[in-house]
Amino acid sequence: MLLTVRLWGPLARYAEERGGPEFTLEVAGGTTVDALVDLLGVPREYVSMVSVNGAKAARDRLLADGDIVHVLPLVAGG
Amino acid sequence: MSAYQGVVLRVDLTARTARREPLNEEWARLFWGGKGLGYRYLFEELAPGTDPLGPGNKLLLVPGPLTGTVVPCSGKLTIVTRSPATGTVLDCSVGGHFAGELRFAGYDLVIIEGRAGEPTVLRINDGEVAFEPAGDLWGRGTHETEHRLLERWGADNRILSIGPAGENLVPFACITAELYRQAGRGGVGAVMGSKNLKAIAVRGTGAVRAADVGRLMEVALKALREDVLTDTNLWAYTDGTPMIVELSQNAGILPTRNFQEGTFEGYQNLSSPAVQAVRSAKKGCLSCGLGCGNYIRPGRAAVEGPEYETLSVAGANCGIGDLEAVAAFNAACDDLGLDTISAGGAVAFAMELTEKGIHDFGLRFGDTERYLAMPGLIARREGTGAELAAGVKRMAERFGGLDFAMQVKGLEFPGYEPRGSWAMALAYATAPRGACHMSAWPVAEEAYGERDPFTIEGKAELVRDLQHYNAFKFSLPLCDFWALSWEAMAELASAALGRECTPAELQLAGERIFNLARLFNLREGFTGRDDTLPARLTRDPLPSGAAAGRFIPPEQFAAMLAEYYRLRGWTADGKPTPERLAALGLAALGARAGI
Repeated sequence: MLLTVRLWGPLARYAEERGGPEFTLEVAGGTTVDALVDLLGVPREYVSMVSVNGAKAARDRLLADGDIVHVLPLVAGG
Repeated sequence: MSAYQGVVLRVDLTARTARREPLNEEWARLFWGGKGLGYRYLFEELAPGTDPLGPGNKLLLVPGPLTGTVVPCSGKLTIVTRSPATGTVLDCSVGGHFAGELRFAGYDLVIIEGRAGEPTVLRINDGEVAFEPAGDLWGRGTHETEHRLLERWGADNRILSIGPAGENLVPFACITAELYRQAGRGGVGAVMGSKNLKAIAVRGTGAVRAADVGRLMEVALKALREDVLTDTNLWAYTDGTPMIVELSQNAGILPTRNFQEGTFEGYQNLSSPAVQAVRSAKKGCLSCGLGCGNYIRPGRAAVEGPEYETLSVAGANCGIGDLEAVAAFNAACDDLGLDTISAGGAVAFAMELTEKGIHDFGLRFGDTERYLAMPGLIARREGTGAELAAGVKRMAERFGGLDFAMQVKGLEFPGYEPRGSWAMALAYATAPRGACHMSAWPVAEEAYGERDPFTIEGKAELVRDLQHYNAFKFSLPLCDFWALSWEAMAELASAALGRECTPAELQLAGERIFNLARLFNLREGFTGRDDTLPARLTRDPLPSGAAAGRFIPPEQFAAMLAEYYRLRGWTADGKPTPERLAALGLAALGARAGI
């Protein structure tokens, strides 16, 4: 299935070989949010939130074809 | 005492005198600097019931023991006073370079008291203090004021100034540094205005002496390489706070149309990619490797900012999804000397009162033209601006809408919808200065992180611990955006002070400082009944987003608050017990607050 993925902020460096922070990615059916983060090579401890189609998603959520996935870094303060 | 200059500068504006006093070393040991040391001096200096806008109130400028050293992210200045918005103790911090300059001039603390007979600029030039006339600056914006003073005295001065809002005693007037940096909340600018003090200039040519320079250099450089410039903190450099728009929207906690909703259809125009698309430069404070500031030029507007709080509370919360408009509102507030959070909150509240037919302010959500007119009207107290200048709480008392007047203790809400972050509700209710995001920021763990945001389970402990963390961190003071550990703070403090500090000692200091703020407020008549929330949050479910259908049931909020008091060693009505105060070394101060 095909996903659109965007890595935010400093996490964009994990997508340097993919041509930029936003890219499409073919993954196997049954891939969860956490599995995608691992596949991207982003250490989980640097991830604050993963959103799917504009809303915060549980890490064990199964992704579906056409999902738009944003991986957001830790933040502090406000 | 290494890392301290050992000098307090006491300025009496009435008598036009300035004198140097020795720093109280015991207080410095127990309360450090910044927030904590400011609280300790203010508790001593103010008689209970002092009018915040009278000559009896005092304005304290407080750097800390790490300010002006090589320690990263140590450029913050804390300003402490009694708030004209809330009547509580108030501390505000501002970045830039003023704090370091004040230490280079040789001071750990400046106490400003009295009231000048005419508009005045206080000029501190190392050991010399002068009272300069400011009649030609009165009525002018902070930008022109700062430019003129730098022209007059040289660009190596650092300036704090107020705009017309502070002169006109608007209770959410701020103090501006370096054009776009603010000590924003609770009306510090009005206190300055009440003293006829238009600006403060400082120039210092000295240095700060650490106990072990070699060790401090080593620890600070290691921290910079391994703990600051990392994937944990670099969001501040790559994006800055506009990134939080994306997090809040996805978590369903982006305040929208006066907290009626938690998601905003126009959020993408306010989010980080939109800001980056018009970014022209970055800026950092003294000693900062992160440089979170964004200079942007959307359309005809130009500003350093807007920060997340402005994008949310003065953007989505007013139904404004136009970055150029929010930037223009931001720039106007900065120049006029208005806190964008409270200004945005007052405008949003007036919009809802108008749309509900309760009182017609001629303001509607999304009406950019009227929205952009409001900062000037508020700062000058003209037309409807005179009513908004009272702030949300007083507006509600006069016109109605108390259930959706988004304030606690008289301070307007910042940009986090607590129905989607229940610990944030507790943080708002219990922060010493009212609805504040700087006392504790649990959204990172729950709304943006992995903890369930819709439960009270474990939240009292989370908020308590974060309050101690910030109370201490802001007493060094270090910037909010460096997420360093207690151990790292202990290591930096040990090298600077020349005595071994443990994380446990620092944690106890954080608790001591937080409790001292509570004692100040108790002495002013606040009680546990003031630790409350607007009814909207405990009654009305959010209509959309990741927190759709959520509200905080009142009995659950009460249970969370009760657990919080218990964990703190406070009574059921929110007073610290004599036993807990004794353990914190605060027994004598407790007695002066009626405990």
